[in-house]
Amino acid sequence: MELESSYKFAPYILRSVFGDETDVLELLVVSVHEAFSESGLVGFDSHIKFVSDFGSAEICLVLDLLRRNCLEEDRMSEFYHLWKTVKDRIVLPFSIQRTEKTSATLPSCVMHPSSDLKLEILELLPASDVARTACVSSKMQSLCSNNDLWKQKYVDEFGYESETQSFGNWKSRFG
Amino acid sequence: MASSESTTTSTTTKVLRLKSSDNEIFGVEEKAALQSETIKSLAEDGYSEDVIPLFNVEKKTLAKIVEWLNKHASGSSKEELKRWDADFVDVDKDVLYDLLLASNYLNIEVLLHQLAQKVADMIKGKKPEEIRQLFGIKNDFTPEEEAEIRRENAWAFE
Repeated sequence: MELESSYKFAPYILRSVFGDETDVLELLVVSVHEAFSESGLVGFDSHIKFVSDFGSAEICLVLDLLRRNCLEEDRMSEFYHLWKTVKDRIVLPFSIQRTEKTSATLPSCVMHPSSDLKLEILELLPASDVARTACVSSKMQSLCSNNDLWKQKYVDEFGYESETQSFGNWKSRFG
Repeated sequence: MASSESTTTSTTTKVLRLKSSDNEIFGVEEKAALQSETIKSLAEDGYSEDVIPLFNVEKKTLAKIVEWLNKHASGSSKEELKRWDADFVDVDKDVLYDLLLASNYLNIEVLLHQLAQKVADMIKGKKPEEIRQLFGIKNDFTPEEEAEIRRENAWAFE
């Protein structure tokens, strides 16, 4: 009960402090961060009303921001689960309902193949193909430089993962 | 609340109605439709009695998706399904792209994986120029940057 009210009121408190000047995105970053940290992985249903105060496109931005934070802290699988839950349970139903009501366009994270989708394709490729794909464009380059991806390629090609090699740049072990 | 276990008696099959972006309505049996996590979420949110709008799936793509959903809920044998799936993803790249986006949007994991595998197979063995051409990706490297990244990945071109 207490948890629920604290994240519910966060945006209002922020609004009263910053007035209309507050960037919606910043407001959301704080609120979503708070909701995430306090509610764990369950109970997202009750957030829908709270989230619908904001634009769904901004939520996608926040999720992307969070993803980058998690990338730095090496907590991808944890984030991925969370991200999927938020996307499927909040962003998508909300976007669809909003689009129907206001004929707004869907946020790009729904319309375009996500980085995760592209990453899934890269996971299915041999290492040399990933390296060649990195030469296609700057976007592909950054996507193809994912260290976890190269760790997977290393294990795929050399069959083991010794403990002494469990960190560092995996791509540099190729070529 | 946990969903109650399905009864074995012959209850009438529930049909969900899905609407494409160009306003075509497809009736799909609930069992087949719920393979999509997105439809499942929408149905749980009370959309199941109404038409479920799918704003970024055109009717030609939705028709293919519905075909896949029905086939995968039909209880076909594994071997038959494998053959059928191979034919299903054997389409030109524009159709493939639409299917990929639609199954991503609809969150149909099995189909998404099949399509991802197909795209990976298309990339395999290709040079960067060929990949660009295949997917219409613009080369945004400066000549210097491109030379540099080619050097870094020279081992993959041997």
